Amino acid sequence: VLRPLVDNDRLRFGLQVLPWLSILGLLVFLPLAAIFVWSVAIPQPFGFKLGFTLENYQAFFDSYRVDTFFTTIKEGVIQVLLALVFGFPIAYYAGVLKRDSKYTFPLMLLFAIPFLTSYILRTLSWISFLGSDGVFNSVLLFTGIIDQPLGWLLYSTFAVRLGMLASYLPFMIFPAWLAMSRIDDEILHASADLGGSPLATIRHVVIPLSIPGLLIGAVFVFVGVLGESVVPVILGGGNISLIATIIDNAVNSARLPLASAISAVVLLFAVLLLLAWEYVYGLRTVGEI
Amino acid sequence: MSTSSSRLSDVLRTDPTVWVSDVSKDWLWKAFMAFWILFILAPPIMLVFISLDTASYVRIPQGITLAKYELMLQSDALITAMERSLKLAVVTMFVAPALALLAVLSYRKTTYKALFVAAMILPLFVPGVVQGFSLLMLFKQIGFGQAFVATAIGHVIWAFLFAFLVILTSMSTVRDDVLLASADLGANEFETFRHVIFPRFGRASSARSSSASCCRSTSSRGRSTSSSGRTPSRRTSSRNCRWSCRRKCSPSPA
Repeated sequence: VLRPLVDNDRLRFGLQVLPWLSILGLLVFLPLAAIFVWSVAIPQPFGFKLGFTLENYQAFFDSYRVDTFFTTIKEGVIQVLLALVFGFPIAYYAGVLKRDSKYTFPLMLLFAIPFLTSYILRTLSWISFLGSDGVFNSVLLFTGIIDQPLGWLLYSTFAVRLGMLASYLPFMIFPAWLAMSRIDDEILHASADLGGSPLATIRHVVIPLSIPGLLIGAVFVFVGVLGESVVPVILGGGNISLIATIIDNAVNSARLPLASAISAVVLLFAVLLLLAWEYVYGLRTVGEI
Repeated sequence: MSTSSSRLSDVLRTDPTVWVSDVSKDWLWKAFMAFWILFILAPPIMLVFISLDTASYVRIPQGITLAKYELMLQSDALITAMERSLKLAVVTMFVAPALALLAVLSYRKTTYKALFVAAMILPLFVPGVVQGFSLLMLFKQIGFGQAFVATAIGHVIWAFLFAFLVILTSMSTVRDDVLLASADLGANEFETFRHVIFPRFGRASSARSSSASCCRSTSSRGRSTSSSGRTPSRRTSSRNCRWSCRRKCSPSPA
């Protein structure tokens, strides 16, 4: 029965492609394309009528919402930088310095444990650390470093950045670790044999060879921030708003064409990022880590 | 002046890694790792203590009670939501990696690799609420009313893309010349997969992609909210958490 499948390359390739391509095409790209159609639909009370108007885009570009979009991009860049600064040494420790240790894998698994708990509750528990009677303020008051609780620890931009860093740091660590752990031992030894110091080896060997992993990590972190609507609400206290919250609010208030228009802008921005990636580095490097 | 600045530049040119002894470096690394593990693990660990606290709001835990657990076990809605989350996680755990494996196998054969990767990555850039919302609209248009299947589709799609990246990176250890050697020795594609590809990347990679899919499914909120609608009977456990958090804990309107 399987003979035609074994002999016929094209049939086999077709059967490999059909399941995921039909799901991706029908359930991802078709709805995403439909967003552009709904984004120019005419808004009605509690719904919309198909047609053509730029009113929804105008409602986005002529309001505070466009500032929120730029704030989201800024916060995304900040999170990527923070994740790079703190995630790179962690990945370097696990992927280069302790690559042969039997404790490395269990150690890195610790970074994955938070994913087994609800994202919302994880974010919520930061309140018990950052609140005016939380852990940080209590310790600082007890040690006499401060006289009264620091109010800016919670419901502030600082709290949102801290919460997002805790959520997205593993997304940088794991791809970077994967990329570094695959650098050949002989290359690292050759660098040392040629007189390269540890820092020179990092600069000239480890960083260039782990760029694909770092790039994927950067994308994961940035995209996460782009779709982030939980942390700003729970830890930001209304002081900081990101674009996903605006989309969420538009969907909740049945302003679907507006939600579609904002989503279309985000989508176009994503396409631009992908084009930039392809131009600068080449997208196929993703498969070559 | 010139001597001191030349000394300074000499110091700056020195590799900072030689400024401290090996023992100190080892301790510094351990302290650094311990700090970040604590930073990542502190919130979920604190959740255990908060769940045992006597207060009904979030604070530093000051007492121990099992009242919330009793309340949880008495809530039929929560139990149903947890069952639904578990079912979703299991479905996602099996379907997403299987689809991703097929996608990776076909990726290796295609010549349009950049376009392939772009098509796979683009949906990752789309906020969950947007993707869920567009799926919901599609299901409404075609009159699809199976809430569980709709939610499962949303989760599978989301996890599939991550599973694809995990399997793709793992598969890159399998070199093309090894596959060619296998073919030269007379193995067909199934035998090559079974005896060459799977042993090299299979167990670790499938475990990683399955667990990633499962975790994404149990903790995801946006897609389940948007793709299946918003009635209480359609809640998963993560949506139940969000729902009660909105009522009790957030200082701002959600």
